[in-house]
Amino acid sequence: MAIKKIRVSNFKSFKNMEVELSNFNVLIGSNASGKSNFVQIFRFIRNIINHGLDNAISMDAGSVEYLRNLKIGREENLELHISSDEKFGWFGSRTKKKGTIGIRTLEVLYDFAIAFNRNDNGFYIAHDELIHKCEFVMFEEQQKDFQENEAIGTGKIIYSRANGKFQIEIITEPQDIPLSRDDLFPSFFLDEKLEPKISLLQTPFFLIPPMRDIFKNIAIYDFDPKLPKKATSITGKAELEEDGNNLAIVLKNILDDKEKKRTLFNLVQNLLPFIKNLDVENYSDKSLLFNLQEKYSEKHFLPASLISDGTVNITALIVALYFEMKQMTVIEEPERNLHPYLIAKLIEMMKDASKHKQIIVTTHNPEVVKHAGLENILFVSRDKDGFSTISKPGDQEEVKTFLKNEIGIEELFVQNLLGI
Amino acid sequence: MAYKRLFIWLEGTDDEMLFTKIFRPIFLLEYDWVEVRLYASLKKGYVDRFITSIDAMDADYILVTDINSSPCISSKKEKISERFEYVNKEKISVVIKEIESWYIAGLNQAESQRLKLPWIEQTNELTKEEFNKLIPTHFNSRIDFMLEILNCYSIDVAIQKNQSISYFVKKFIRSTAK
Repeated sequence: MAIKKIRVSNFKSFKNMEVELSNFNVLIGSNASGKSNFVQIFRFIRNIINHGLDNAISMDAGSVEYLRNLKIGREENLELHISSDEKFGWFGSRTKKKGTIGIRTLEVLYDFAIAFNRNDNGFYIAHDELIHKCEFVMFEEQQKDFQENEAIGTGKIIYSRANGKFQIEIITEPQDIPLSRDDLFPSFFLDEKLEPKISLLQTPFFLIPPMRDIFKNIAIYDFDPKLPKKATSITGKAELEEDGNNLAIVLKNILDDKEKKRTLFNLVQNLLPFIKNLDVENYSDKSLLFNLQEKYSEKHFLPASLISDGTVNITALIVALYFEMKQMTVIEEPERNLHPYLIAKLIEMMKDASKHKQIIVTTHNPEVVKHAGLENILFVSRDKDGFSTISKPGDQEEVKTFLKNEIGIEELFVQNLLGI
Repeated sequence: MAYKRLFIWLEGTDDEMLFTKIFRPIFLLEYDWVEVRLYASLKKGYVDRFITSIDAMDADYILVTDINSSPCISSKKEKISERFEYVNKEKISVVIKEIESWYIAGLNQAESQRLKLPWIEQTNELTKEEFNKLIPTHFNSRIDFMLEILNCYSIDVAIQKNQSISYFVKKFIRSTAK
């Protein structure tokens, strides 16, 4: 799983919040409860990696004042803790003397804290630590190929900062596993200066695949179905944009691939059986526009501008769920413009897609809540002091009592009884 | 002639895909209007009220259920009757064992080969878990795989490979055909 657990302190509307995620997560709560602030955590992480800490703060909050909780202010650190149990392997030592030692990372923990200056709006990184929990395995070279032998121990590789430099500590059990920091990274790399506002998130220590794929490419979507209805320049991004405005470009790439096209048609027709064909038209001004053929009028294609908002939204959702190669996908209110009857099928698709990627959706829709599965629901609410909290209704005895008496989870949500 | 309506009650979306694509068009030869409904997430009182309304408008209905762990068809029908008081047992069709077995049943040898599946002569014992293991690795969506099966589905083949489909077709399709 991409992200197993997340904990934040003094971030936006959260004072202290910790939540365990599953592969499919449905975030519900009343208006201004903190759902978007939860999504903002993932955007913040992604922005630090892609644009640096200063830019991430500017992009996500304008200034640190609005990134931290307004009530708590500068007195407490802004903290972020992430753990991932995505397993991956890499080689440590490869010397004749020591042999080849493989490192199998079983869990990654990242802790990050920002402290705020007392007298101005400045800040500094107060804590920055990345821990790989590992298993060490001996490999044997056989005809230019490596054969895995027995596991020789377990341990941790801890990356942190000290005096403006990287620091790596290796703790092994047993202690005599011959692995040193020079085996992991070249010495010139370790001597590099770590600038005060450069987080480990931005360094190659964190960005070892597949960690890079998880965090650098967190996809966050908030589709505006009006935008894909307009022609888009042929030179746009090949990845689906957050608002879906470049859907025509992405569709063109999918339709050019026979197998992807087959899958797209199956999935679209499952939700919208009246669709006979989808196509993307190339115009002389180097723009693209997608259009659609209904089975009711086989000779004519409808241009995107005449296609319903729901049809555009469903197409964008299917592309995001099945064709964008992201390990983590967040979708804000995916049910927009959809008939309630289609929602059960849409949720099944999300569960299906979540076997290959971690999915988080936010919603206000009772039908989504009804079909999501109790174990997948995360309820966001404000406590008596106004701080956002996240709980799992499935763990609450009171909720179980209502469910036993055939009062559905969606009814409890509509009646605002989930926080009972 | 009176306007003929049929409601088909199904457990979940896997059943819905199969019935919408394969059986609904066949029922439409006999009925003017065929509606597929899901009951798994509905409360028992709601289904009973719906059945009462269906009876009152003189429409037909079929309720389809997997046999799952029930020892026999009668006991499964009994269980359904306990949950939905007003459902007529004669209108219940029991899938053996699970709806996934009906999917695989509709594939002939050539299509099984095309989809890189082993040839399974009888699907009466096929479970959901066994079906999931059959999904070829080049499908990264279970739903896509199921829809691809439906694109080449043959009812004639299916009734040879699964007894509960054969019974369903005989009882609910052939007996009502014009």
